[in-house]
Amino acid sequence: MKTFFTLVIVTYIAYYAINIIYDLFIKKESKVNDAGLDEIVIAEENYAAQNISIDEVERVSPPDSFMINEMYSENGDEHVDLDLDFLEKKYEEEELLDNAFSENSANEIEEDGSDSTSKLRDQFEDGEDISINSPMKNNKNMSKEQFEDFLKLAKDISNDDIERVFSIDSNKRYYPAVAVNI
Amino acid sequence: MVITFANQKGGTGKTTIAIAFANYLSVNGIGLKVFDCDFQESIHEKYTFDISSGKTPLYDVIYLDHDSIPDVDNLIEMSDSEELFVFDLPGSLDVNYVNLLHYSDYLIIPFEYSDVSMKSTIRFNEFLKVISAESQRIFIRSKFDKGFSYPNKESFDSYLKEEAKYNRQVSIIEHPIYKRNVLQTIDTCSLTYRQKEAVIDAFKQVLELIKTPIVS
Repeated sequence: MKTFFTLVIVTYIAYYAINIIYDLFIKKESKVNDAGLDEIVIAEENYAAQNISIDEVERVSPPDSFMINEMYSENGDEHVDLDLDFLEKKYEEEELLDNAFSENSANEIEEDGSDSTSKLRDQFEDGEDISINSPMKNNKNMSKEQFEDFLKLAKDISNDDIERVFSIDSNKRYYPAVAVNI
Repeated sequence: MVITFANQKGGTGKTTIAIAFANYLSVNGIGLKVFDCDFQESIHEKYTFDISSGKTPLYDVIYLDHDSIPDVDNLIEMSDSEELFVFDLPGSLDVNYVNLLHYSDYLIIPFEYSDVSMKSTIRFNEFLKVISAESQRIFIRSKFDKGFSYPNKESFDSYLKEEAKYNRQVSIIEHPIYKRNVLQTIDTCSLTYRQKEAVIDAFKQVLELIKTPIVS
């Protein structure tokens, strides 16, 4: 019995001694990825991302404290005390946001040239002489933006011809499938 | 006069045909200058290699990068000149080449009957139409293998014929440039019998169109 306990204790000490030696001298330190240090985990591991449509957002019922009735009381027929300064400020801020959005959109369209290309396309489809838009009519150099517009228009227009050339089945050759023994 | 070899599709044989054309004119006594606008400098490299090998090129070849391409005034002057200027463009479309496409007297447009080449050629032609390029367009079949039945050849030919029917600026060369290995070894110093054989019928028709008197 004494031998048994001695063996258990010796095994126990040996096990922990080996662990300590392993940790101190053999075990390699795991590298920390610096790129992930700023990552903040806001959900549990089993969290799954979900796509939410705008209709679902509209149907969300927030707590009553979130609901502000700016103009009318709950029964709808009695005016509440209006904070006109607050409403005016809010209206101006909303206008500012709306205008900023529409200006950005206009700038984006102008930048990628789609607006001017569609204008050219409309002129072309109406049978107008689009060459008047060509700076070379006045012996001037074409700008890169104008070049991109003409290139896009040419690409759009050529699609019909390409489709026509490649859709005439009578001119295509069909080859029989070949059976291969493997 | 300004003649430009162009197509927005690479690999259609522009450079080879341009060299063969310049050689053919030169050996028939027509003086000319060749401008290589392709960043790969294929013609210019051949020209400098020929000189370094002790040969005598038939004409001068000048490499032009983006910034050196003649401006509108220069191009109009070159076009009015009795001298012949041959330009070889790269297989891509760029705003820097638009003036050349517009003001060249003739654009020689080699194409193949491969799907990608036909599509690019249609797009290139439509681009020339929308910018109202003043140049005469001469479409020429390149690397043609008469033993091969090309799918969609007939419908593409119909497209070109229709273009030529309604637009006096468009012409199609009936004789193709045949696919010949001898054209792969063409240089700026000579045109061998076999090379001439591959191109002569097509070139004769081109020269009829551009009204250049050549004794073949």
